[in-house]
Amino acid sequence: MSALRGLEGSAARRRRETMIRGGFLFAAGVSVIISAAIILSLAGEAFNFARQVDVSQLFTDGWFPRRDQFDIGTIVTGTLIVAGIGMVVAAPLGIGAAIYLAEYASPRTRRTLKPVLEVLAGIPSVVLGFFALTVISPTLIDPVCPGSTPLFNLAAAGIGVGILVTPLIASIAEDAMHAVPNSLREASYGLGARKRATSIFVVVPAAVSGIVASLIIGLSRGIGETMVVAIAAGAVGGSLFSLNPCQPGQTMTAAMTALATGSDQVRGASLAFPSLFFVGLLLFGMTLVLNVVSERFVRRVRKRY
Amino acid sequence: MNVELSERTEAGAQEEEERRVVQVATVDRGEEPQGSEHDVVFELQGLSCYYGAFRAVREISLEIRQNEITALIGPSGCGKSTLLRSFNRMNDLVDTARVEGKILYHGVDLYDPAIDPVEVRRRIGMVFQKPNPFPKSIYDNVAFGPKVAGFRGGKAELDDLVERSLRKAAIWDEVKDKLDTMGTALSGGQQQRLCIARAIAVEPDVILMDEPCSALDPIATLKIEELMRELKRNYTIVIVTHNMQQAARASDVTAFLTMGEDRAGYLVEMATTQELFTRPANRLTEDYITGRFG
Amino acid sequence: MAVTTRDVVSQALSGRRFDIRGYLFEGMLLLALLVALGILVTLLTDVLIRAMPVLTERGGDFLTSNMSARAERAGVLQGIVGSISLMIFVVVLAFPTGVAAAVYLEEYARDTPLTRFLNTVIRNLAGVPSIVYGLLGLAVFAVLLGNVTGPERAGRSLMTGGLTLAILVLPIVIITAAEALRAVPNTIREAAFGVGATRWEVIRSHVLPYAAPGILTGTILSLARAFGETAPLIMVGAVTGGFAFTASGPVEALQGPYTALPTMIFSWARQPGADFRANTAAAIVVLLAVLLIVNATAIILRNRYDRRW
Repeated sequence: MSALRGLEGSAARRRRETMIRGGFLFAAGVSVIISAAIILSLAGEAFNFARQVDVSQLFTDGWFPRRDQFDIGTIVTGTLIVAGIGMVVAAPLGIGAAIYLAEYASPRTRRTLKPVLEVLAGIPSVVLGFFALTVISPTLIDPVCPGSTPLFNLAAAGIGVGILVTPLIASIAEDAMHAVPNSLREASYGLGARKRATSIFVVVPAAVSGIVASLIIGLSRGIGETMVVAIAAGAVGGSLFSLNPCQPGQTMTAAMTALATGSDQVRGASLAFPSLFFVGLLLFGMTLVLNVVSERFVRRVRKRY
Repeated sequence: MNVELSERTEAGAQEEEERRVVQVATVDRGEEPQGSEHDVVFELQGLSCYYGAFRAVREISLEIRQNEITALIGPSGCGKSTLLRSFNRMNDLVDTARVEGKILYHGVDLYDPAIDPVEVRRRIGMVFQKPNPFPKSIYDNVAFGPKVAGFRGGKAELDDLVERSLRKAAIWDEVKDKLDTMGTALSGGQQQRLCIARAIAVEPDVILMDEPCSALDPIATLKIEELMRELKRNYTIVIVTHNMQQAARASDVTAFLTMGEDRAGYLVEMATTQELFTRPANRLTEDYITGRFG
Repeated sequence: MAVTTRDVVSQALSGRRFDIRGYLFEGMLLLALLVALGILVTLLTDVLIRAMPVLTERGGDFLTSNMSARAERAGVLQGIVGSISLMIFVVVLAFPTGVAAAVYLEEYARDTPLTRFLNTVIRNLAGVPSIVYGLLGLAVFAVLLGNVTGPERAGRSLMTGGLTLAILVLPIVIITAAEALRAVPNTIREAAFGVGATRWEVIRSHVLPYAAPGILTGTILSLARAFGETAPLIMVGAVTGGFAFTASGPVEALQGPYTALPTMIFSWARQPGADFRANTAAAIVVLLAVLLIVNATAIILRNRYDRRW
């Protein structure tokens, strides 16, 4: 029927549409390719490392890659100390600021201050690392730590990381609390509750998924943070295992930069090069787990409303 | 004596400028046995509610009596909710809101500077249009009010209070086995009864209801109306509704408000429900009830 | 039941408790906010003060000098040139790919497990620490493709750095572009389909123009983010010591050494001695100034286009 032929449209047009669609699909697929590449490259060299290394080398006194000592415990503890101190700083500051902005600040205050927080979030980590080294270490750490404290120490890096992560936590937590419907606040006030009780016992519990997600994301960021530690924590060549934040130390990320800026990066020369990827894989795994967990929490928020 | 708030003219009852008598509207209850007249809970004297410069409610004078269900009816937008929310100072939560005139609660001026609105709300509770249970367990929903008000007592007493409140809200049997489940998982009608239980748990004097059934299906609505009749034995109830049939079914006294030329709501007529719906004194009221406008 | 005599009621309702706990709570929260803001202020003032001597005495000279072991002669020219070159890479590579991927996800894809998988992958990629991207760049662009990217230097070239940053920024571009596309009201699409346009025609003539300001803003902000990135560049061999710019042509330049403003800051920050401290601070001021301008541009653009619609 001639009418049907008209409705079919031109074949060329349809072919073109399919090709265009394919092009866009490919672009989206690039992301998958990248992910695969990350995992493969990390896993490949990490496996290489694992094959060649002796288990005893993984549990030595410290992390001294050029001396073939690859104590994982040292760098993981370093990372956890720095991230831990960072969260101790960032969690109260971030959530406190978030509650204030969401529940107490006037709309105009909130409109002015939220962008300011975004600015703080945009400060590159090198700048914060410099600040940690030149200001935080002498002014905050030296008086607090016993004895004479070296300029480079984990505590200063930890606080620097905390400052870096605070706006991230504040932003996500504030969004979560702002999203709590006003009808819940009304119900609370209607029962004769004051603002403090309403904020703590109604709004925060209602937003708890988003708040927890903000903390997990902050922790993940703190663990993966490199430049603050590379500048302020010291320990370029290697570091003994230590739990003392008042001393210089080594995190996973700083260890990686130290390895990369060293001279022996040629493959096969020593285990230093593949160890880089081993640590990288470990780091990738940790942050991936944290990010996936935080996704679960974010999804719970969306389901509720 | 029905207060003549306006003259019944043939020519366009809509534009009358009523002869306003700032005199509290009292309601003729006809023949009543001596001593059974209920105490006055609320007395409004020329109460006006403003949002900034805009007057939403104009000079209302009326009485609400104890253990009665008083319905506020009228077309939408005429300020019924605003009026209701002034009874428990919920309007305070809006920055630009203010009142003129007086509202006396058991003889005490509610807007006196010395009065704490939080204490007011513990005695004058509210149920909202859309059920708003907290995303907490049923038990925690009901226990929230008492805890915040400084409940002094152990777990056993609190359990008791929760059970009593849920019973009074006619929902105990449906939830007694699942007090730990989320309040938000209940059906709409159940949620609203949970909200009523929550309001009751702080042992208020008055329960204000702002169109409590408008989000519910007819069966749930009837259940709530039954509940109201039970509740009025122990509480005073003021209900805003845009559903006239509901007012006719469920209330003892009805006040009809409408919007004037200045877009402010004002009180047209207030009488016992039977009187208002069968022999309305005012032309506007009659028009509204018979569906000619609104 | 509440009591009903007037005096009892009056007494019960008044006595407004001075809600001390409430005020303390609010005070603590405000303190948290002020501390966070105060740190920002302290940081900026400290950096400015430290940078003053260099900026005032050397001013333009600082911006036009090369790296040097002598603090009073060192300048950020190579860093600025390097950073700008890297940004060009990012724009050319990440912007088209990212927007195209976003177009697919928002306009073409249906809600299938594959689409959900893609979205998850992208979201996770956005959360990967930047140093891991450095590792990827090292393994793939530097080592594996070293002969293409930088045969003289075991692959530690400008090209490698650019490619690495482009991949790092890609997920962010996708996410922001997707958001901008989602904000386009469906009625626009429906109207265009209604007159018989194909999907690509709808996208090209209606959706993309509408979403363009949002996409543009998002891209600019991603660029700002990439501009401040350091760790990945260190991993793929940005020079931190010093180098002479000797390339004779564009290909050699791409395959040659390079540095960036943040990596210069990193290397100077680690130098002992007060003289480099001032230089570091001055370089930071330059970096922050650039970021400020870029962010301000993005915000101004967004406001201007918001009003138009």
